Amino acid sequence: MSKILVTNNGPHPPEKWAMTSAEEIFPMQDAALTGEHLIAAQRFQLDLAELLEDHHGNVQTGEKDSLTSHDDHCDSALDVEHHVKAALAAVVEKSKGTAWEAHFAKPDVQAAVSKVLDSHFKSSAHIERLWHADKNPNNGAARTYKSTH
Amino acid sequence: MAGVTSGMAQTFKAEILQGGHCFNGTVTTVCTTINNSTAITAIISGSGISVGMGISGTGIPTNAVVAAIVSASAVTSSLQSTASGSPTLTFTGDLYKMALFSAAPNGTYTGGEVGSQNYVGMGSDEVPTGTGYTAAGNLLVNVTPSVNSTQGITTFSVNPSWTTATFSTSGCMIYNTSTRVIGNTSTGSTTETSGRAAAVYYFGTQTVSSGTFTVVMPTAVANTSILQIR
Repeated sequence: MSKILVTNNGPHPPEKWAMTSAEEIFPMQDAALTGEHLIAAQRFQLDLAELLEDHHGNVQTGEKDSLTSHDDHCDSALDVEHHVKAALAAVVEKSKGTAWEAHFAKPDVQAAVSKVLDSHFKSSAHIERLWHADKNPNNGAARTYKSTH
Repeated sequence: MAGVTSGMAQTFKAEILQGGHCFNGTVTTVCTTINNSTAITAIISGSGISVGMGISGTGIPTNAVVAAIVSASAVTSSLQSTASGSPTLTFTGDLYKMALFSAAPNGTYTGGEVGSQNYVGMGSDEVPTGTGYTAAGNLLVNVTPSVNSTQGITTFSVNPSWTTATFSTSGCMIYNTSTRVIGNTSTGSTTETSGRAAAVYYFGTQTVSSGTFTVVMPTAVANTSILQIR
């Protein structure tokens, strides 16, 4: 089990998702990291969280807007592809000039990062739909979505 | 000692070898059906379809499943179609759910203990139905298993979440809601059963109040994926 996210009185805020994503994308479990390298790694992980906060915020805002403007939005598939591409590009750009530039330039690493971002962005949008269903019990599409998830 | 200990259900390991689980993700594709025939042909995109997967769509009777794979673009249904045409059909694997344990379960739940290996065994140790939680838990969305490095792995595509939630929990069970007739080689008995556990996980007491509770699945790669065969 990777992580449990608990937020009282509403959905998870973007900064909580951002830290979760940063920890998955750049885990600090390398025992070989010490001294300056360790501090640099911790700083880089926080940098990633900071830049991902905006992207998570965009996912939530975009989903909320779609739910408000389209009654049947919950009938559509979760689509976060453009958010994933933008966030991946930002992560790769952020790594340039750091000790991890070569790591994030690898195609397999970028594929893994995309997988994490896709999962977290979809989950964040999914949660917006669940809250929308809770607050709008008469919306048929939202009610059906919640009952099948 | 009562409680939840993370582990893969022992019965699950045997059931995997018995063909008792299908984690394949949903496949949606255009096909050709013939009235009063079990043949489904001209499947445009059949990757990920396997025997036993459910079939639904126009002209397909309720409870139809894939009885046989004829070719990459043709399968045999267990039931005859009720119409001829070129519908978009949906092929689905088994339906898995995640149910939550209460904060202080009275029973013992580990991968190896009898009673932990079926959802029914949770009984009163499940989080009670109430604010934000419904008995039996949340449906999970399959992702077709794959090979990563040297391991077979699978996961679920959206992290299970409970909203407007007020409850305390200490762990979860992933289980299969689809029914199989499972034989017990030790006793010779056979049982038609659903709710078969795949695994249980302990995550310590967590409390949420009028909020959101999410189980974030680990990254779906070798050594970390939520379910893996090494």
